[in-house]
Order: sequence, then structure tokens, then C-alpha cells
Amino acid sequence: MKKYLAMLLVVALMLSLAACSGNTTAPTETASTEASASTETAAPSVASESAVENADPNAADYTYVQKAGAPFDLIGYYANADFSECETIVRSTGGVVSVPDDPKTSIPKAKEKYTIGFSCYYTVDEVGAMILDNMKKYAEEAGVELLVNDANYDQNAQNQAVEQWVTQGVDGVIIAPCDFTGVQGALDSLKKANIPVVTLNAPLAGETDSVVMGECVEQGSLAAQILIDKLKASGSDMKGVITISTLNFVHPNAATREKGFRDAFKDYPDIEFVNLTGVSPEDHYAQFEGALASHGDNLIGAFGLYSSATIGLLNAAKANKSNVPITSIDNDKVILEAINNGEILGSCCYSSTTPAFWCMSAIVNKLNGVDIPGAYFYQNVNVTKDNVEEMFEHYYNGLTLAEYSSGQTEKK
Amino acid sequence: MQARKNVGQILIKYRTILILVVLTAVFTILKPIFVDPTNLLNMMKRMSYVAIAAYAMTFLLTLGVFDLSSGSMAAMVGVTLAFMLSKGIPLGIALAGAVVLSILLGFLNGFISVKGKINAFLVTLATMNIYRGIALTVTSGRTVSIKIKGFTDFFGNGTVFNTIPTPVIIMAVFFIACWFLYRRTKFGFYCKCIGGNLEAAKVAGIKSDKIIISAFALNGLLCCFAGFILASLMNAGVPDIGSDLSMDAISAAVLGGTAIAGGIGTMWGTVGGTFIMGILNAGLSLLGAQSPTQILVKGIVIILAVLMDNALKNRTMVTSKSN
Repeated sequence: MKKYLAMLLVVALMLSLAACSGNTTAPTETASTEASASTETAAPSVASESAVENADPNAADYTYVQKAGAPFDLIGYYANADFSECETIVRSTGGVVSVPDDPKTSIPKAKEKYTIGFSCYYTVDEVGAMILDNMKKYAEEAGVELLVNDANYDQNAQNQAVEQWVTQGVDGVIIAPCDFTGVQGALDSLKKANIPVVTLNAPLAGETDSVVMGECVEQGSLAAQILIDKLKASGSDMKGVITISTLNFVHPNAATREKGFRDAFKDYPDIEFVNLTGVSPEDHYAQFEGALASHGDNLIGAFGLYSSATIGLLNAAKANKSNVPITSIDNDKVILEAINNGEILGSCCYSSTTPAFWCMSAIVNKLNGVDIPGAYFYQNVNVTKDNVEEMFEHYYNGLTLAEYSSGQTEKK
Repeated sequence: MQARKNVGQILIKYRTILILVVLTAVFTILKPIFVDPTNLLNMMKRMSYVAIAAYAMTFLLTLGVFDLSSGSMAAMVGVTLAFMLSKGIPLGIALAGAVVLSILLGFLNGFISVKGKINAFLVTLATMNIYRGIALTVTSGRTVSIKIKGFTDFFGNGTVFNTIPTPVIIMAVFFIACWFLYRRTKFGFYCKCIGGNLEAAKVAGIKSDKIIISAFALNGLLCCFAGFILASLMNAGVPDIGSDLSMDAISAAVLGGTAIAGGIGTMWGTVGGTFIMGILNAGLSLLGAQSPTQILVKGIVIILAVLMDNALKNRTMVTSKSN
């Protein structure tokens, strides 16, 4: 009996491990050929030709916020947003740029068959899955091999994966951190091994070559503008309470979004802000229900700082038949549908897939010898009832809002 | 027939080693770099704090109780230490303060459970939330950086002989101490007696209340060092860290053969159980497995190990009856 149990264990393990996707993509023959052809045509002996060779192939898509020549001062960026926890050094001196959702340029081709490690905090939810799928797609286009780690919100696991990649001798790493300070362990390992790294979202400690991030202060500001426009249009005297549904722990994106939101109301001193904190939608549901009860007619607006907050307070508002205008950040399908239904005024949105393009572009360019920008700010767009259908298709790969509302969750 | 019985006995008796060997072989075949010494040492570094928490959990499980607040205690220790250091308190005083705090937290768990005659599961379920809530409140949810390189190097990021990570050394030192305490002292003996039969232990004059409370205080102490290692690896006190520490520690001890019902345990087994979990984590990470697969595989390994453990107990009972 015990022998059979032991054998069953081995079989079960083998089956389970076979279920592991491996999640690596091998470069295609065509991509490899093109990569080597581009290497053969380069003649680095002449300075001008070298400059051309090392020119950034994605530069046509950049709108420069800061010119090339100095590293991005991430510490100063956060300090300006009243967030003093950042100690990160960004190394690249290629400037600070805004980048579009639909770039005209393509993913750069790798000069060699690089091996890139990509570690994401979580890849099983909608956003994480989209980022992962697109990262694999762009890795194939670039002609690189991609190793994948799903850290499952465990920074320790993410740091371990990076250490394994250092041992394996990867050429470059893309990290979407679980913990913005704890990721320093991984970044230190990469620095020690002289392996370039690009982070999706800005870490708060350690060193990175470049960051791909949203301009979160702008996100808060844009979300506030939706609410301000509505309040003024309805003849409000701009007096009362606005709730801010946010996290119950300090997060740099949350802190900077809130900064942008509050600053947008600086001309309206009679507005009082009340923070409602939680993590999950049900936390925010309970918090907002309490706010509805305690503030009554004095409650003139609500802000969901991230998707779970918005979903929670939206459902609380619906359950209590409240007409409090709601504004939001994030582009979850549920939120966009609620905008279409008139349940939410609007949301400041950004693409979940564009960051994958720019992360891959950054790391491949870096490995190809290009002086890449220190920061890539992806596009923020206010989505309201006027443009929600168009933006839904844009963010969800052609799936229409009508198809989603009828129960279809993916484009067939 | 006798030969088959002997093979079966050996398989069950050494099931932890068997699982370790099988897992290592499987991962090495799939990814040869798995057995690279640097990879193995990094794996041991990453599992060191789980091992230390699991040693303490072995005492508790042997007593027939367990502590769900281990992760919360480790987080609270980390943020308390980071907070004190950020206020300029000397390192020695901050460390001592953190140690005293953690022993007190563990003591509270044991005291409330024993004197209040409340199931330890319920007490530590409550304190898991209380201690975590305190950590989050004190820090306002912020991660508090630790800038003292001596501390983070000693407990997390340093190496001995430029090779062996210091957490691995700390893990080994605590293993020796806990093994000795468990196997060679009255305290360990009393834990097994109490876990095996509480009434008989009381009749024999063993002060079970004192032993149980002491075991919880010991858990607090060991969670303190687990918290030091975690904080060093993160270079910060993180208030929401270690949420899986209790379950991982329990899993490691059970995988190693410690009985949930109490009375039976082994420190060597706990080390083996910790290694099983460490190898699973490291191997699945190398394979690029997504989180659902990781959770699924770990669950399968744990349930099969527990089944084998039960098979051993049944066999032991049958052998005793037939004798």
C-alpha cells in the first residue's frame, strides 16, 4: 500500500509538472535571421555610423518631457508629489518621455538571441494576464527568449526568481514589483551581476536602468476634472464632502494619485475630503455605505482611486440607490460598462498592454547598446460616456462593449 | 512477502528523504541548473525564515496546538525594529526590544489559551489579526526602510566565506539548538508526553500549563528571528509581510512527520519538510509555473505526504496489536 502511495506521489508530481507551461518563447527563425542581418549591415568603425547604429529605433514615438543627457530624478518626482519614501536611482540618461498606446514604430529587433527574464507580481487576473500575453508576443517579435515568473504577490519569491536568473546568466530582466521597497533585493542582485533591468512601475529602493510607469499625479488630476466638470455643470456651490476610496496602506501610486486629485480642487476650499480605506471591493462597499449614511446630502462626490475601490463603492451606491457622482481611475471592463450605463461619470484610464511594449522595447534597446530614456510615461485618457465604446475596443483588443454586456468576455 | 514488508517499512520510514530525492531528481532533469550550488544556497536562504518558524511550530504541534499568528508576529517584530532604528535608537537596544516584544506576544498567546481555557486555534486566529492590525496602525501602512547595513547583512544579505548566505548559518544554528531542546531536554520530553496524553501527563506531575505557555513564548522568540531575516531580505519592516508564514511552518512540520494530533515529532523531519517546500518553490519558479500551478502542486504534495504519514501510523498500530 505504501509503495503504491509513493508511486502515486511520483506520478502526480510528474503530471503536475507537465502542466507547468514553462512559459518560454523561442525566437523564430525569421526573427533570428533579421537580427543577424541587421548586425551584419552595421559598420561600427565610424563615429557617425556608430551613432546611427545606436540610435533609438522607437524615438519617433517619444514626446520628450525631459531631454536626454541626465538620468531621471525619480526621487525628485516623488518629492514633488509630497511622497518622500523613494530612494531609487535610475541610471539611463536618454531623457524622460511620454509614449502612445499605439506606437508607429515596432519592437526593436535584438542584435543577438538575448534571454530576458520577466517577473510579474501576478499574472492570473485580467490585467496581469494581458501584460503576460503581450510580453510573450513582443518577445517573439524582438527575437528574444523570454523566461517568466509569476510571483503571486510574494516579493520573496520574486527575489528568488531573479537570483535564479542571475545564476542562469540571463541578459536582461523586466520586473513588475510585488513590494516597491522589498524589490531592492532583486535589483541589488542584478546590479551586482551587471545585468540591465527595466521596472514596470517605479520601485522605491535600489537601482534600475529605466522605469515604465503611469504619470499617477496626472491620473488623479484627470479623474478630478471629470468630477469638477460635472459639479459645475450641475450648478453646485462646490461645498460639501468628497470621499476618496483608497488603500489602507501606503502605496506610491495611491499617494501620487491622491495628490493629483486633491490639488485639482485647490480653488475650492469649501470641499472637505474624507478618506475611506480598504483593500478588497467588499471593504470599500462597507466603507462607502457608511459614508452615505453619515454624510447624507452633504456628500457631493466620490473617487475610486483604483479599480477594486471603484467597484466596491459603485455597488454600495447602487444598493443604496444613491446618485452621488463617482469618478475613478483604471479601465476594468466593469468600470467601463458602468460608465456606459451612466452609473459612473468617468474614469482616467491607461492601457494594460502598452506597458509590455515599452518594457520590451526598453530592455532590447538597452541590450542593443542604445541609451534609452530613464522613464516612459504611458498615456492617460479620460473615458466618459462620449468615448467609452471606442476606448473599450481599444483597451480590449477589439472586443466591443455590446459584446461584453451580452456576456462575451474575450474577442473570438 | 517479508522482503516486501521491509521495503514498504523503509519507504514509509524514510518518506521525507524519498520525496526530497524524487523532487530534486525531477527538477534537475527538467532544469539542470537546479542543482547549481549558487541556486541551492539561494533556495536555502529564501526558506531559512520558514525553517526557523517551523522549528517552533514543531514544539507546538507536538503539544497538540498550533499558532496562526506566527506571520503577524514576524511582521510586527520587523516593523517595530525598523521603526526604532528610524528614530535613532541604537541597534543593540532595538534588537533587544524586538526580542522582548516577540517573547511577550508569544507568551500572551499561550497565557490566554491556557488560563482562559480557549482553543489555541481561536486565540491565535484573533491575535493574528490584532498583531497585524497593530503593525499596520503603527506604520500607517508604510514600509519602513532599514538602512543599517550591518543588520541587513548579518540577517539577510551577507555571506560567510563569500559563499554561504548568513540566513543559512542562522537556520543551522537554530536547528542545532531546537534539536537539542526537543530531543535532549526535559522540556522536549514533556512536550511529547503532554501531546501524547494530556491527562496522563498531568497525573505524572508534569506542569502542562507552564510547558504549553513556554512553547508559545518560544514560538514568539523564534518568530522574532524569522522576522529579522524577513526584514533584512526586504531591507525594510513591511507591515503586511509573512501572511503565509504560519501555514508554511505547519506544512513543513507536518510534511516532516510531526503529527497534528500531537505527541509525535522530529526536528530532522521538520528540516526535511522545509526543504521539500523550498525545493518545490525554487523548482516551480525555475520552470516558470504560474501561481495556480504552484498552489496545486504544493497542495498535492502535502496531501500525499499526510496520507503516507497516516499509513505509517496505521501500520504502527496494526503491528502493535499483532504483537
